[in-house]
Amino acid sequence: MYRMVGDRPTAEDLTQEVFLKAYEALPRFRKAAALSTWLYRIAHNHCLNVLGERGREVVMTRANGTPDANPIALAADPGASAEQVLEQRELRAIVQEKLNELTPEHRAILVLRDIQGLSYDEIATALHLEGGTVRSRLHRARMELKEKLRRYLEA
Amino acid sequence: MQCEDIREQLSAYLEDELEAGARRVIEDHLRQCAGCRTELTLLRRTVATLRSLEELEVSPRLAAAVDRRLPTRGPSPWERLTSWLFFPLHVKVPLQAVALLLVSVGAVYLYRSAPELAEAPRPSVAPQSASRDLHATGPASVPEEADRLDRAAPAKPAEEPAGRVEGQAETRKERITQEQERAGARSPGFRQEAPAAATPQPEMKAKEKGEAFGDTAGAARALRKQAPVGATSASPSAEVILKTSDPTRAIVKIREIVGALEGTVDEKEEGTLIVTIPAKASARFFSGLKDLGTLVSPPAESPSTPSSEGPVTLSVRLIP
Repeated sequence: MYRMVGDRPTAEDLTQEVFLKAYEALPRFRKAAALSTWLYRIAHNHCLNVLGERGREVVMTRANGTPDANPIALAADPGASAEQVLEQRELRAIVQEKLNELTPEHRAILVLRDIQGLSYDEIATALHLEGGTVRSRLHRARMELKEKLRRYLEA
Repeated sequence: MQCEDIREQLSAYLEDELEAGARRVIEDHLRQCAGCRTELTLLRRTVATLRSLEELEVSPRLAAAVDRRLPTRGPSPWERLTSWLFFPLHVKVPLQAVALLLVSVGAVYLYRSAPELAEAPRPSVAPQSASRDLHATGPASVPEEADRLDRAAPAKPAEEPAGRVEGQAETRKERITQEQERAGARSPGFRQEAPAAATPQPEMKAKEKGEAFGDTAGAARALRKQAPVGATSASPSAEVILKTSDPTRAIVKIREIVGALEGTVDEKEEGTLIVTIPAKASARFFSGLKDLGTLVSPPAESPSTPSSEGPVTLSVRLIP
Protein backbone atom coordinates (compact mmCIF):
# COMPACT_ATOMS: atom_id res chain seq x y z
CA MET A 1 0.00 0.00 0.00
CA TYR A 2 2.90 2.32 0.83
CA ARG A 3 4.42 1.61 -2.59
CA MET A 4 1.16 2.58 -4.18
CA VAL A 5 0.60 5.88 -2.39
CA GLY A 6 4.17 6.74 -1.32
CA ASP A 7 3.11 8.13 2.03
CA ARG A 8 3.23 6.13 5.20
CA PRO A 9 0.34 7.69 7.21
CA THR A 10 -1.90 7.59 4.15
CA ALA A 11 -0.83 4.00 3.48
CA GLU A 12 -1.68 3.03 7.04
CA ASP A 13 -5.11 4.65 6.81
CA LEU A 14 -5.80 2.88 3.55
CA THR A 15 -4.56 -0.42 4.98
CA GLN A 16 -6.99 -0.13 7.87
CA GLU A 17 -9.82 0.57 5.46
CA VAL A 18 -8.82 -2.38 3.29
CA PHE A 19 -8.87 -4.74 6.27
CA LEU A 20 -12.27 -3.44 7.35
CA LYS A 21 -13.61 -3.88 3.83
CA ALA A 22 -12.19 -7.37 3.70
CA TYR A 23 -13.77 -8.17 7.07
CA GLU A 24 -17.17 -7.03 5.84
CA ALA A 25 -16.77 -8.89 2.56
CA LEU A 26 -15.44 -12.07 4.16
CA PRO A 27 -18.80 -13.93 3.98
CA ARG A 28 -18.70 -13.44 0.21
CA PHE A 29 -15.14 -14.70 -0.13
CA ARG A 30 -15.06 -17.69 -2.45
CA LYS A 31 -12.20 -20.04 -2.10
CA ALA A 32 -11.51 -19.95 -5.84
CA ALA A 33 -8.62 -17.58 -5.12
CA ALA A 34 -6.08 -17.45 -2.33
CA LEU A 35 -6.98 -15.16 0.52
CA SER A 36 -3.86 -13.07 -0.13
CA THR A 37 -4.77 -12.55 -3.80
CA TRP A 38 -8.28 -11.62 -2.75
CA LEU A 39 -6.83 -9.09 -0.30
CA TYR A 40 -4.57 -7.65 -3.01
CA ARG A 41 -7.59 -7.22 -5.18
CA ILE A 42 -9.55 -5.36 -2.50
CA ALA A 43 -6.50 -3.24 -1.76
CA HIS A 44 -5.94 -2.43 -5.42
CA ASN A 45 -9.56 -1.47 -6.01
CA HIS A 46 -9.66 0.64 -2.88
CA CYS A 47 -6.42 2.30 -3.83
CA LEU A 48 -7.64 3.15 -7.31
CA ASN A 49 -10.85 4.57 -5.84
CA VAL A 50 -8.97 6.75 -3.37
CA LEU A 51 -6.43 7.86 -5.93
CA GLY A 52 -9.25 8.62 -8.35
CA GLU A 53 -10.97 10.75 -5.72
CA ARG A 54 -7.92 12.62 -4.49
CA GLY A 55 -6.01 12.80 -7.77
CA ARG A 56 -2.27 12.50 -7.52
CA GLU A 57 -1.90 14.66 -4.44
CA VAL A 58 -1.58 11.63 -2.23
CA VAL A 59 1.38 10.21 -4.05
CA MET A 60 3.12 13.53 -4.51
CA THR A 61 3.31 14.42 -0.83
CA ARG A 62 6.87 13.16 -0.60
CA ALA A 63 8.10 14.50 -3.92
CA ASN A 64 10.17 17.30 -2.45
CA GLY A 65 13.94 17.67 -2.89
CA THR A 66 15.17 15.21 -5.47
CA PRO A 67 18.80 14.54 -4.61
CA ASP A 68 21.39 15.79 -7.06
CA ALA A 69 23.81 13.03 -6.31
CA ASN A 70 23.65 9.64 -7.97
CA PRO A 71 22.79 7.27 -5.11
CA ILE A 72 22.59 4.24 -7.32
CA ALA A 73 26.05 4.84 -8.67
CA LEU A 74 27.30 5.60 -5.16
CA ALA A 75 25.66 2.50 -3.83
CA ALA A 76 27.63 0.48 -6.35
CA ASP A 77 30.88 1.88 -4.98
CA PRO A 78 32.27 -0.69 -2.56
CA GLY A 79 34.54 1.88 -0.94
CA ALA A 80 31.76 4.16 0.21
CA SER A 81 30.44 1.89 2.93
CA ALA A 82 29.96 4.67 5.50
CA GLU A 83 27.80 6.65 3.17
CA GLN A 84 26.21 3.61 1.64
CA VAL A 85 23.41 3.30 4.15
CA LEU A 86 22.39 6.91 3.66
CA GLU A 87 22.62 6.54 -0.08
CA GLN A 88 20.60 3.39 -0.05
CA ARG A 89 17.88 5.31 1.73
CA GLU A 90 18.07 8.00 -0.90
CA LEU A 91 17.94 5.40 -3.63
CA ARG A 92 14.75 3.95 -2.21
CA ALA A 93 13.30 7.41 -1.98
CA ILE A 94 14.10 8.07 -5.63
CA VAL A 95 12.64 4.78 -6.81
CA GLN A 96 9.52 5.44 -4.78
CA GLU A 97 9.29 8.92 -6.19
CA LYS A 98 9.61 7.64 -9.75
CA LEU A 99 7.07 4.90 -9.01
CA ASN A 100 4.67 7.59 -7.87
CA GLU A 101 5.00 9.29 -11.22
CA LEU A 102 3.69 6.24 -13.02
CA THR A 103 0.01 5.61 -13.64
CA PRO A 104 -1.68 3.64 -10.84
CA GLU A 105 -2.06 0.69 -13.23
CA HIS A 106 1.68 0.58 -14.03
CA ARG A 107 2.56 1.18 -10.42
CA ALA A 108 0.29 -1.62 -9.24
CA ILE A 109 1.70 -4.20 -11.62
CA LEU A 110 5.33 -3.35 -10.71
CA VAL A 111 4.47 -3.53 -7.01
CA LEU A 112 2.74 -6.88 -7.35
CA ARG A 113 5.32 -8.48 -9.64
CA ASP A 114 8.73 -7.00 -8.83
CA ILE A 115 8.23 -5.97 -5.21
CA GLN A 116 5.71 -8.49 -3.88
CA GLY A 117 6.74 -11.30 -6.23
CA LEU A 118 3.28 -12.52 -7.27
CA SER A 119 2.91 -14.93 -10.19
CA TYR A 120 1.30 -13.82 -13.43
CA ASP A 121 -1.82 -15.80 -12.57
CA GLU A 122 -2.14 -14.19 -9.17
CA ILE A 123 -1.69 -10.76 -10.70
CA ALA A 124 -4.32 -11.58 -13.33
CA THR A 125 -6.76 -12.51 -10.55
CA ALA A 126 -5.92 -9.57 -8.31
CA LEU A 127 -6.11 -6.97 -11.08
CA HIS A 128 -8.83 -8.75 -13.03
CA LEU A 129 -6.75 -8.94 -16.19
CA GLU A 130 -5.99 -11.47 -18.90
CA GLY A 131 -2.60 -13.18 -18.72
CA GLY A 132 -1.37 -11.55 -21.95
CA THR A 133 -2.36 -8.12 -20.69
CA VAL A 134 -0.41 -8.73 -17.48
CA ARG A 135 2.79 -9.47 -19.46
CA SER A 136 2.51 -6.55 -21.86
CA ARG A 137 1.52 -4.10 -19.13
CA LEU A 138 4.38 -5.28 -16.95
CA HIS A 139 6.88 -4.75 -19.78
CA ARG A 140 5.64 -1.24 -20.52
CA ALA A 141 5.68 -0.32 -16.83
CA ARG A 142 9.28 -1.51 -16.48
CA MET A 143 10.35 0.35 -19.60
CA GLU A 144 8.70 3.52 -18.35
CA LEU A 145 10.35 3.29 -14.92
CA LYS A 146 13.68 2.49 -16.59
CA GLU A 147 13.46 5.75 -18.59
CA LYS A 148 12.66 7.69 -15.41
CA LEU A 149 15.65 6.16 -13.60
CA ARG A 150 18.01 6.31 -16.60
CA ARG A 151 20.22 9.07 -15.32
CA TYR A 152 20.70 7.25 -12.03
CA LEU A 153 21.14 3.84 -13.64
CA GLU A 154 23.61 4.82 -16.37
CA ALA A 155 26.38 6.12 -14.16
CA MET B 1 15.00 -8.10 -36.58
CA GLN B 2 14.88 -4.42 -35.65
CA CYS B 3 16.10 -3.12 -32.28
CA GLU B 4 12.54 -2.04 -31.42
CA ASP B 5 11.26 -5.59 -31.80
CA ILE B 6 14.13 -6.90 -29.71
CA ARG B 7 13.50 -4.36 -26.92
CA GLU B 8 9.82 -5.33 -26.80
CA GLN B 9 10.87 -8.78 -25.74
CA LEU B 10 13.53 -7.85 -23.20
CA SER B 11 11.18 -8.28 -20.23
CA ALA B 12 10.21 -11.77 -21.38
CA TYR B 13 13.93 -12.51 -22.02
CA LEU B 14 14.76 -11.39 -18.49
CA GLU B 15 11.96 -13.56 -17.09
CA ASP B 16 13.28 -16.48 -19.14
CA GLU B 17 9.89 -16.99 -20.73
CA LEU B 18 10.98 -17.21 -24.37
CA GLU B 19 11.29 -20.38 -26.38
CA ALA B 20 14.77 -21.48 -27.36
CA GLY B 21 14.52 -20.14 -30.96
CA ALA B 22 13.34 -16.67 -29.93
CA ARG B 23 15.92 -16.56 -27.18
CA ARG B 24 18.72 -17.38 -29.62
CA VAL B 25 17.60 -14.63 -32.01
CA ILE B 26 17.75 -12.06 -29.19
CA GLU B 27 21.15 -13.23 -27.98
CA ASP B 28 22.55 -13.07 -31.51
CA HIS B 29 21.25 -9.53 -31.81
CA LEU B 30 22.61 -8.48 -28.42
CA ARG B 31 26.11 -9.65 -29.39
CA GLN B 32 26.06 -7.29 -32.35
CA CYS B 33 24.04 -4.33 -30.92
CA ALA B 34 25.60 -2.26 -28.11
CA GLY B 35 22.46 -0.09 -27.79
CA CYS B 36 20.22 -3.04 -27.08
CA ARG B 37 22.79 -4.44 -24.64
CA THR B 38 22.66 -1.15 -22.72
CA GLU B 39 18.85 -1.22 -22.70
CA LEU B 40 18.91 -4.75 -21.37
CA THR B 41 21.36 -3.72 -18.64
CA LEU B 42 19.24 -0.75 -17.61
CA LEU B 43 16.10 -2.87 -17.55
CA ARG B 44 17.85 -5.51 -15.46
CA ARG B 45 19.00 -2.83 -12.98
CA THR B 46 15.49 -1.37 -12.83
CA VAL B 47 13.99 -4.73 -11.92
CA ALA B 48 16.81 -5.48 -9.50
CA THR B 49 16.33 -2.11 -7.81
CA LEU B 50 12.62 -2.75 -7.40
CA ARG B 51 13.31 -6.18 -5.97
CA SER B 52 15.84 -4.75 -3.58
CA LEU B 53 13.33 -2.46 -1.98
CA GLU B 54 13.10 -3.66 1.57
CA GLU B 55 9.95 -5.03 3.05
CA LEU B 56 8.33 -2.42 5.17
CA GLU B 57 7.83 -3.18 8.83
CA VAL B 58 4.20 -2.92 9.71
CA SER B 59 3.69 -0.50 12.52
CA PRO B 60 2.32 -2.19 15.66
CA ARG B 61 -0.24 0.56 15.98
CA LEU B 62 -1.65 -0.41 12.57
CA ALA B 63 -2.83 -3.80 13.82
CA ALA B 64 -4.20 -2.18 16.99
CA ALA B 65 -6.00 0.46 14.93
CA VAL B 66 -7.57 -2.16 12.67
CA ASP B 67 -8.60 -4.14 15.72
CA ARG B 68 -10.23 -1.07 17.25
CA ARG B 69 -12.19 -0.34 14.11
CA LEU B 70 -13.50 -3.86 13.65
CA PRO B 71 -17.04 -4.31 14.97
CA THR B 72 -16.88 -5.38 18.60
CA ARG B 73 -20.04 -7.43 18.44
CA GLY B 74 -20.89 -10.27 16.12
CA PRO B 75 -23.65 -10.03 13.57
CA SER B 76 -27.13 -9.34 14.95
CA PRO B 77 -29.65 -12.20 15.07
CA TRP B 78 -31.34 -10.72 12.02
CA GLU B 79 -28.05 -10.61 10.10
CA ARG B 80 -27.31 -14.17 11.15
CA LEU B 81 -30.77 -15.26 10.02
CA THR B 82 -30.55 -13.58 6.61
CA SER B 83 -27.06 -14.92 6.18
CA TRP B 84 -28.22 -18.40 7.10
CA LEU B 85 -31.25 -18.15 4.80
CA PHE B 86 -29.72 -16.56 1.74
CA PHE B 87 -25.96 -16.87 1.63
CA PRO B 88 -24.52 -18.11 -0.58
CA LEU B 89 -27.19 -16.63 -2.85
CA HIS B 90 -26.19 -18.67 -5.87
CA VAL B 91 -27.05 -21.88 -4.02
CA LYS B 92 -29.85 -21.01 -1.63
CA VAL B 93 -32.07 -18.80 -3.76
CA PRO B 94 -32.55 -21.45 -6.49
CA LEU B 95 -33.14 -24.06 -3.76
CA GLN B 96 -35.79 -21.88 -2.14
CA ALA B 97 -37.44 -21.24 -5.49
CA VAL B 98 -37.65 -24.98 -6.18
CA ALA B 99 -39.04 -25.62 -2.69
CA LEU B 100 -41.72 -22.94 -3.18
CA LEU B 101 -42.68 -24.45 -6.51
CA LEU B 102 -43.00 -27.91 -4.97
CA VAL B 103 -45.16 -26.61 -2.14
CA SER B 104 -47.42 -24.78 -4.61
CA VAL B 105 -47.81 -27.83 -6.83
CA GLY B 106 -48.50 -29.94 -3.74
CA ALA B 107 -51.16 -27.53 -2.53
CA VAL B 108 -52.94 -27.53 -5.90
CA TYR B 109 -52.77 -31.33 -6.06
CA LEU B 110 -54.14 -31.63 -2.54
CA TYR B 111 -56.95 -29.20 -3.33
CA ARG B 112 -57.93 -31.15 -6.41
CA SER B 113 -57.74 -34.55 -4.77
CA ALA B 114 -59.59 -33.65 -1.54
CA PRO B 115 -63.32 -33.05 -2.08
CA GLU B 116 -63.70 -31.60 1.41
CA LEU B 117 -61.49 -28.68 0.44
CA ALA B 118 -63.34 -28.04 -2.80
CA GLU B 119 -66.65 -28.15 -0.91
CA ALA B 120 -65.54 -25.87 1.89
CA PRO B 121 -66.37 -22.42 0.47
CA ARG B 122 -69.90 -23.42 -0.59
CA PRO B 123 -72.16 -23.43 2.51
CA SER B 124 -73.47 -19.92 1.86
CA VAL B 125 -75.09 -21.13 -1.39
CA ALA B 126 -77.30 -23.67 0.31
CA PRO B 127 -79.64 -22.07 2.80
CA GLN B 128 -80.08 -23.43 6.27
CA SER B 129 -83.08 -25.44 5.24
CA ALA B 130 -80.83 -27.66 3.17
CA SER B 131 -78.82 -28.73 6.14
CA ARG B 132 -81.95 -29.17 8.23
CA ASP B 133 -83.37 -31.16 5.40
CA LEU B 134 -80.32 -33.33 5.46
CA HIS B 135 -80.59 -33.90 9.18
CA ALA B 136 -84.29 -34.55 9.03
CA THR B 137 -83.91 -37.31 6.48
CA GLY B 138 -80.93 -39.05 7.92
CA PRO B 139 -77.85 -40.07 5.97
CA ALA B 140 -79.20 -39.32 2.52
CA SER B 141 -76.53 -39.58 -0.13
CA VAL B 142 -78.08 -37.02 -2.47
CA PRO B 143 -75.88 -34.03 -1.62
CA GLU B 144 -72.70 -36.01 -2.01
CA GLU B 145 -73.94 -37.52 -5.23
CA ALA B 146 -74.94 -34.11 -6.52
CA ASP B 147 -71.53 -32.71 -5.63
CA ARG B 148 -69.81 -35.52 -7.41
CA LEU B 149 -71.92 -34.82 -10.46
CA ASP B 150 -71.08 -31.18 -10.06
CA ARG B 151 -67.39 -31.90 -10.33
CA ALA B 152 -67.71 -34.51 -13.01
CA ALA B 153 -69.80 -32.48 -15.48
CA PRO B 154 -69.67 -28.82 -14.60
CA ALA B 155 -70.36 -27.68 -18.17
CA LYS B 156 -73.79 -29.36 -18.41
CA PRO B 157 -76.18 -27.67 -16.09
CA ALA B 158 -79.18 -29.50 -14.68
CA GLU B 159 -80.20 -31.91 -17.43
CA GLU B 160 -78.10 -35.00 -17.12
CA PRO B 161 -77.43 -34.79 -13.39
CA ALA B 162 -81.12 -34.08 -12.77
CA GLY B 163 -82.03 -37.26 -14.62
CA ARG B 164 -79.55 -39.27 -12.67
CA VAL B 165 -80.65 -37.84 -9.39
CA GLU B 166 -84.30 -38.35 -10.17
CA GLY B 167 -84.40 -41.88 -8.87
CA GLN B 168 -82.82 -40.79 -5.66
CA ALA B 169 -85.25 -37.92 -5.43
CA GLU B 170 -88.07 -40.42 -5.65
CA THR B 171 -86.60 -42.49 -2.89
CA ARG B 172 -86.17 -39.39 -0.92
CA LYS B 173 -89.78 -38.40 -1.48
CA GLU B 174 -90.91 -41.61 0.09
CA ARG B 175 -88.56 -41.12 2.95
CA ILE B 176 -89.86 -37.64 3.56
CA THR B 177 -93.42 -38.87 3.54
CA GLN B 178 -92.59 -41.54 6.07
CA GLU B 179 -90.71 -39.02 8.10
CA GLN B 180 -93.62 -36.65 8.05
CA GLU B 181 -95.93 -39.33 9.24
CA ARG B 182 -93.61 -40.36 11.97
CA ALA B 183 -93.02 -36.82 13.02
CA GLY B 184 -96.75 -36.11 12.93
CA ALA B 185 -97.36 -38.94 15.29
CA ARG B 186 -94.45 -38.14 17.47
CA SER B 187 -94.22 -34.41 17.84
CA PRO B 188 -96.32 -31.80 16.11
CA GLY B 189 -93.86 -29.07 17.08
CA PHE B 190 -91.08 -30.70 15.18
CA ARG B 191 -92.41 -29.78 11.77
CA GLN B 192 -92.96 -26.22 12.74
CA GLU B 193 -89.37 -25.94 13.66
CA ALA B 194 -88.27 -27.21 10.31
CA PRO B 195 -91.00 -26.24 7.91
CA ALA B 196 -88.87 -26.09 4.80
CA ALA B 197 -88.01 -29.71 5.21
CA ALA B 198 -91.54 -30.88 4.66
CA THR B 199 -93.14 -28.42 2.33
CA PRO B 200 -91.76 -26.65 -0.68
CA GLN B 201 -91.59 -22.91 -0.74
CA PRO B 202 -91.83 -21.52 -4.24
CA GLU B 203 -89.77 -18.37 -3.68
CA MET B 204 -87.06 -20.36 -2.02
CA LYS B 205 -86.91 -22.79 -4.89
CA ALA B 206 -86.62 -19.91 -7.30
CA LYS B 207 -83.91 -18.41 -5.20
CA GLU B 208 -81.96 -21.60 -5.06
CA LYS B 209 -82.28 -22.11 -8.75
CA GLY B 210 -81.04 -18.62 -9.32
CA GLU B 211 -78.08 -19.10 -7.09
CA ALA B 212 -77.26 -22.44 -8.53
CA PHE B 213 -77.42 -21.33 -12.12
CA GLY B 214 -75.23 -23.64 -14.13
CA ASP B 215 -74.61 -25.71 -11.06
CA THR B 216 -75.83 -29.28 -11.32
CA ALA B 217 -75.59 -29.70 -7.59
CA GLY B 218 -77.99 -26.81 -7.24
CA ALA B 219 -80.32 -28.42 -9.76
CA ALA B 220 -80.25 -31.63 -7.82
CA ARG B 221 -81.05 -29.76 -4.65
CA ALA B 222 -83.95 -28.03 -6.39
CA LEU B 223 -85.23 -31.43 -7.40
CA ARG B 224 -85.01 -32.59 -3.86
CA LYS B 225 -87.07 -29.63 -2.83
CA GLN B 226 -89.71 -30.53 -5.36
CA ALA B 227 -90.07 -34.04 -4.09
CA PRO B 228 -92.22 -33.18 -1.05
CA VAL B 229 -94.73 -31.29 -3.23
CA GLY B 230 -96.21 -34.53 -4.44
CA ALA B 231 -96.09 -35.91 -0.97
CA THR B 232 -98.29 -33.25 0.55
CA SER B 233 -100.74 -32.73 -2.26
CA ALA B 234 -101.42 -36.34 -3.21
CA SER B 235 -102.40 -37.76 0.14
CA PRO B 236 -103.03 -36.59 3.67
CA SER B 237 -99.77 -35.60 5.23
CA ALA B 238 -100.93 -36.46 8.71
CA GLU B 239 -103.80 -38.03 10.57
CA VAL B 240 -105.63 -36.07 13.18
CA ILE B 241 -107.75 -37.93 15.69
CA LEU B 242 -110.34 -35.89 17.52
CA LYS B 243 -112.25 -37.31 20.42
CA THR B 244 -115.61 -35.65 20.63
CA SER B 245 -118.87 -36.34 22.39
CA ASP B 246 -120.90 -35.32 19.36
CA PRO B 247 -119.26 -36.41 16.07
CA THR B 248 -122.12 -35.23 13.91
CA ARG B 249 -122.02 -31.73 15.32
CA ALA B 250 -118.23 -31.80 15.06
CA ILE B 251 -118.39 -32.60 11.35
CA VAL B 252 -120.70 -29.65 10.82
CA LYS B 253 -118.43 -27.39 12.81
CA ILE B 254 -115.34 -28.61 10.98
CA ARG B 255 -117.00 -27.85 7.68
CA GLU B 256 -117.75 -24.37 8.95
CA ILE B 257 -114.22 -23.82 10.14
CA VAL B 258 -112.70 -25.13 6.95
CA GLY B 259 -115.11 -23.06 4.91
CA ALA B 260 -114.11 -19.99 6.86
CA LEU B 261 -110.44 -20.82 6.15
CA GLU B 262 -111.15 -21.21 2.43
CA GLY B 263 -110.37 -24.89 2.52
CA THR B 264 -112.23 -27.97 1.37
CA VAL B 265 -113.66 -30.94 3.22
CA ASP B 266 -114.24 -34.37 1.80
CA GLU B 267 -115.85 -37.10 3.78
CA LYS B 268 -113.92 -40.19 2.83
CA GLU B 269 -115.77 -42.60 5.06
CA GLU B 270 -117.93 -42.30 8.07
CA GLY B 271 -116.19 -40.44 10.84
CA THR B 272 -113.16 -39.49 8.70
CA LEU B 273 -112.77 -36.20 6.85
CA ILE B 274 -110.11 -35.28 4.34
CA VAL B 275 -109.43 -31.63 5.01
CA THR B 276 -107.41 -29.42 2.73
CA ILE B 277 -106.59 -25.99 4.04
CA PRO B 278 -103.98 -23.35 3.34
CA ALA B 279 -100.90 -24.10 5.31
CA LYS B 280 -100.89 -20.74 7.00
CA ALA B 281 -104.39 -21.34 8.32
CA SER B 282 -103.53 -24.59 10.02
CA ALA B 283 -102.99 -23.02 13.42
CA ARG B 284 -106.44 -21.56 13.42
CA PHE B 285 -107.84 -24.88 12.21
CA PHE B 286 -106.29 -26.76 15.08
CA SER B 287 -107.41 -24.18 17.54
CA GLY B 288 -110.98 -24.62 16.23
CA LEU B 289 -110.65 -28.40 16.52
CA LYS B 290 -109.69 -28.14 20.16
CA ASP B 291 -112.98 -26.34 20.87
CA LEU B 292 -114.86 -29.35 19.55
CA GLY B 293 -113.22 -31.98 21.70
CA THR B 294 -109.89 -33.50 22.67
CA LEU B 295 -107.09 -33.96 20.17
CA VAL B 296 -105.84 -37.51 20.62
CA SER B 297 -103.31 -37.28 17.83
CA PRO B 298 -101.44 -35.07 17.63
CA PRO B 299 -101.69 -34.13 21.31
CA ALA B 300 -100.55 -30.55 20.73
CA GLU B 301 -101.28 -28.38 17.78
CA SER B 302 -100.59 -28.19 14.07
CA PRO B 303 -98.45 -31.20 13.34
CA SER B 304 -97.31 -30.75 9.79
CA THR B 305 -98.08 -27.30 8.65
CA PRO B 306 -95.47 -24.96 7.37
CA SER B 307 -96.07 -21.37 8.19
CA SER B 308 -96.17 -19.92 4.72
CA GLU B 309 -98.16 -21.05 1.73
CA GLY B 310 -99.44 -24.11 -0.05
CA PRO B 311 -102.31 -26.37 0.79
CA VAL B 312 -102.08 -28.93 3.53
CA THR B 313 -104.15 -32.06 3.46
CA LEU B 314 -105.10 -33.71 6.71
CA SER B 315 -107.09 -36.76 7.53
CA VAL B 316 -109.38 -35.97 10.47
CA ARG B 317 -110.89 -38.97 12.21
CA LEU B 318 -113.56 -38.43 14.75
CA ILE B 319 -113.96 -40.85 17.62
CA PRO B 320 -116.57 -40.69 20.30
